[in-house]
Amino acid sequence: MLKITNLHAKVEGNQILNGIDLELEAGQVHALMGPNGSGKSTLAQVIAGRERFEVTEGDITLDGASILELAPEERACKGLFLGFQYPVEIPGVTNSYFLKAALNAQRKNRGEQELDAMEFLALLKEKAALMDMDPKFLNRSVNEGFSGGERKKNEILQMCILEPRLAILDETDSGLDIDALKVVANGVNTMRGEDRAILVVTHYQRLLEYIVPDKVHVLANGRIARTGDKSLAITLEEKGYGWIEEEAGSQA
Amino acid sequence: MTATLSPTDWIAPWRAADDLPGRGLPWLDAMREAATSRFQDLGTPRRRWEAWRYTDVAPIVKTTFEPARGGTPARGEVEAALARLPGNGRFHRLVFVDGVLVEPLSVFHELPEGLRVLSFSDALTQIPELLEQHLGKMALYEDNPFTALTAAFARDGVVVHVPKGVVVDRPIEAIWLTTVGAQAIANHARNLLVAEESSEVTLLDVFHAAHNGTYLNNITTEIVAGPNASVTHIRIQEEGRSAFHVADTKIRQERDSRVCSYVITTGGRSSRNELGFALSEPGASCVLNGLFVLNGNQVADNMTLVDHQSPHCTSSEFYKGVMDGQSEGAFTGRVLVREDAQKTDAEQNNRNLLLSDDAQVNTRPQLEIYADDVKCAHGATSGQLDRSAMFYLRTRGIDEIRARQILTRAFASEIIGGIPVQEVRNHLLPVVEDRLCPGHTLEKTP
Ligand SMILES: Nc1ncnc2c1ncn2[C@@H]1O[C@H](COP(=O)(O)OP(=O)(O)O)[C@@H](O)[C@H]1O
Ligand SMILES: [Mg+2]
Repeated sequence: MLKITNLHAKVEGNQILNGIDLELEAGQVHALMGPNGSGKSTLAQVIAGRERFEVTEGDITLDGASILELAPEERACKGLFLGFQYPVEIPGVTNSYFLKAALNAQRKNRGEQELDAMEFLALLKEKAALMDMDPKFLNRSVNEGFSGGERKKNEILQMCILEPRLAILDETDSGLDIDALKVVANGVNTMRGEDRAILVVTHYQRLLEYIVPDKVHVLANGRIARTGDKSLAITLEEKGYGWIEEEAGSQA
Repeated sequence: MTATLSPTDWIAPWRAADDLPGRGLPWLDAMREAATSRFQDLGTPRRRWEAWRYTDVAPIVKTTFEPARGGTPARGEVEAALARLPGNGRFHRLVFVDGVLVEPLSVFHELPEGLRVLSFSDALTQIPELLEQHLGKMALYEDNPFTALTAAFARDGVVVHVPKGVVVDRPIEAIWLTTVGAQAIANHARNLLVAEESSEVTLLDVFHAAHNGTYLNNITTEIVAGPNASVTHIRIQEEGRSAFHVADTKIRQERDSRVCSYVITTGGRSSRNELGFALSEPGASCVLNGLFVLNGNQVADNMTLVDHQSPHCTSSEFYKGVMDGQSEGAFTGRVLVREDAQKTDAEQNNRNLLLSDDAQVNTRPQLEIYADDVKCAHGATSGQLDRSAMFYLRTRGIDEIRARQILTRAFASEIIGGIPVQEVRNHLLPVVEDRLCPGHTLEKTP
């Protein structure tokens, strides 16, 4: 589904990604781990189409076609979803208005019937209950005054409503207490399915106890330094990232 | 358009007019004469005058105008315009066409006992004492040539007198429509609202044109809020794209009165909104909220003054501007806290959104504080749409134009959402959106 080859990207003159290769098949869940500053969020944002990151080499394809020239909204309409590490506050736009506009924009793009207010509300209530979210959050401005945990739940809520085929979740686990973590993991697990691929970006192994990945990739110095199964996450938890960075450094 | 006319030539058609209402009232004749002569001394405003620095006055004073004398527009045209405006059916409504009240288009529901709602010309015959007592007492013409013109040549306007204790439950709406003619017209008009002790009233002034002809609306409004009175004044300026609009609104507040002003500017080629509050007795409080949404080559200047003359008064001011194209917006917020005005609580905020590289805004907070026990806060920011918010919306599948619209509407809706009349809020949101993205009106917020 997703294929990244030799991806190089820079921001404001700083080279951050130095040749990423990564492949993710439908039905799989992969974890992307790595020390702070290794480029995880950069990779996630480049895949989603953030303009300020400049791709200098390599390619990203979705279902075999390059998406590099596509606007973020076009990528979204092709089924891509990015759960933000730092979800953005949008004062003056209610969560439910935002979600309805997003869902209907995508449906329209795919030639599907747009949902009316009643249909949308029913869907929203069902998914909010799944995320254990108080309905009052739906009528508040997007992420405004939300706690860290509420923001992360809100990201997963959006994912559950938009039902992407490829979801990239950037540190959706950081800042969550254990109860919220379980809710988030449960939300992600309900989305697992044959037609769907999920890339879970995380700093800690903790989340992977609840969302068990098929593969674990470790990013260091802007490259995939290692790929393994879920035991790699446990090794990292025990030994830290130092040895991987050293390895990656000696290769460079 | 010609080279700038001399002030005397510019007003010649008015000086020649012998059909102004109220002729023969000695106080009025005297005021008109003095104001005419003051206008001739002052001349038309120059940009180098501090108070007119950001008003695009040159194209106004270069235009040769005929006096507005009222009009009878094609029936369907007016009805189409009226149907679009807020309050259709519910508000008390006065309709002015080319500066003169058109009675058959106006609607008066049952009025509370003692309430007077009249045109300026009728008021001069029916309640001249009220006009004599208040006219020109708040909006002084000595330093403002355009106010001198309304003092000298006003033909019509709205006069509202709310007696003690009367609560007017429906808003009173004055709609100002201008038709296109062979010659550009200038309407110098005069409004007066007197709200006596413990009364309550809402007045809307709506300026609207559906064509691109050149004309000038020059409107002076005076408001007195008596002790414990509560007044809401809403100005909606949706003039045509080649129109000029100059407003001078002056408000005096007595003990414990509350006045809220909302000034919404979306229209006009060049406009100026001057707004001044005199908090003359203790306990008075006022709100000044404004929104200007400009594109193309529009220029809009907002000049506000809150004069804290007495102790224990509160003022709260919030203006927002949205500028696209090559438009230019300006906000000047002067807050004067006089020596006696202890325990003043004044806050002011101006936030501007620039949607294009060529758009400009000038913001000037001016705080002058001569009392020592006061609370004054102010802030001003100008910037572009938040890039992270744009990206966030777009990653959810919302295209760029819509994302801009959603964020801009959210920015503007903070002011619109604070207007206490639902019909006005409902009217303004699509108007503002259409200004920003013609033809792409969003669906309503839930
Ligand atoms: N706008 C930017 N300008 C310069 N450097 C940046 C910018 N954004 C991120 N970086 C740098 O890119 C590197 C990778 O950051 P990031 O992708 O956020 O890492 P991670 O998500 O793995 O913690 C860091 O060294 C960070 O400082
Ligand atoms: Mg990160």
